[in-house]
Amino acid sequence: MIWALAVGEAGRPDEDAGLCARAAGGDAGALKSLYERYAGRAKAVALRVLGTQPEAEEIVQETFVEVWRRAAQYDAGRGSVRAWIVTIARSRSIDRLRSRQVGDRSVAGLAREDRPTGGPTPLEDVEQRMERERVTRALAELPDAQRRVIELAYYEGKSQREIADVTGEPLGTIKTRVRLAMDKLAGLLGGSRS
Amino acid sequence: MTCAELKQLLAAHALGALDAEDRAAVAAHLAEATHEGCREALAEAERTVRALGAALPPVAPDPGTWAAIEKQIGTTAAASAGPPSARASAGRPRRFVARALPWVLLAAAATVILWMRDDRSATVARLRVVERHRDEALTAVTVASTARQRCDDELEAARAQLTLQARAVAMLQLPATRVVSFAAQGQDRAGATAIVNLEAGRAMVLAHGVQPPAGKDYELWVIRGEQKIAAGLMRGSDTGEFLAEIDPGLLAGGADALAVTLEPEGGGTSPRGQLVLVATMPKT
Repeated sequence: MIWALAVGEAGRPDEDAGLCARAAGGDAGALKSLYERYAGRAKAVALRVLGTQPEAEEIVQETFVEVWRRAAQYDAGRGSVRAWIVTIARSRSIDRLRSRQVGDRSVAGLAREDRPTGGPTPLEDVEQRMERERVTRALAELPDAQRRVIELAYYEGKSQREIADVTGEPLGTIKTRVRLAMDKLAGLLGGSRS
Repeated sequence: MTCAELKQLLAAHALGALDAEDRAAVAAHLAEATHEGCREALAEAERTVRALGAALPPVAPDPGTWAAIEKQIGTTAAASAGPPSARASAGRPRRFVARALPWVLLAAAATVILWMRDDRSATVARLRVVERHRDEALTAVTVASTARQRCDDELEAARAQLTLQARAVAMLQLPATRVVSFAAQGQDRAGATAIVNLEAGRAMVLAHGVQPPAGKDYELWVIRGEQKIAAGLMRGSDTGEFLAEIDPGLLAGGADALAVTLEPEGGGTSPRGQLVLVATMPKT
């Protein structure tokens, strides 16, 4: 008998993929279901990248309009619908960040953990919370300098060269650090299919 | 660029942190026909980056955001919102009543019209037809009533589930509550999570994929040392979801683990079937 714990996989990939397919066929109700499940995730990333509520709200809108338009292109082989939506939100946020070239960001409101109306069921809620804790723990296990380069790259969309400029460290050091950090994260998050 | 050189760049590539020149070199290499694990390494790096998206707690969008999206996509979800199963069960009683009512009205109207005629034999014959229609209408009404009862039962079950869900959410708010995944012991599609609060001596089990083969039931067990204590059958919803609280009395003596087995229908007092899921109970 095996007593070791296995990390549960969050979300319901098949169900989400079905909603995505329905949205691709013009079913706005399916898009709404995806919105109710993942708008909170999209907004969290947008808020983290951009730092302001109004802009984060606009990113959520843009993200789900893009999901609507590109639903037929979703490829389940490349990851979950949830990860796809969060990736769209992050890309749009970083594009906007780059376009406004602003360095200072407010992080106010990051501690909020409101649930969107009609959002995750308790089961999804538990799974999402577990997944969040798992990723947060993995990030916390990185040395500070490695975590910092991941945050600068992921949340601020900075290139390795820009990170070297920001931190004042040699580009070669940053490249090594990014690689080590990602290798360690991959090991800690092994088995993730987000 | 060799495959080994490419792999040195994939982490930054997946993060979107490469400069334009390196990005172009990566794209050119990936377009080549043969590789030594490059695509697999890229997929791994992309998986890791996607997982980072889960690190932030969700933030509720403004109430007006969905309306703005609807406006942009030029359609409305109102007509099709909600899960198909919910729409189906909500429509069921109306469908039966809609089917029954025309017969009732037809029977009443026919009766009035026929009594106004003087042709008694024709009237009797037609009355029989009317009676048959009335019987059919009554049958339909009875069916509608049964459907209504079924709806009431479903509603009651939904209310019970909502109460349980509220309890699960309340437990999750408690600082001492721990969330533990069940480890799969085979290829069974069922999965589960335990919400455990040792201070309160309570545990709830949330499961999905609870759709056993015909003639089988999933059964939950509390494991204490060598003891395997039956904690109830796990019978999921139509969609295979299951949520229940374990009888606190079963946990009172402590528990080392929770387990789920696949038993013959109806289960038993000691496990005989295949072990499906196991969760180690937290100690603190």
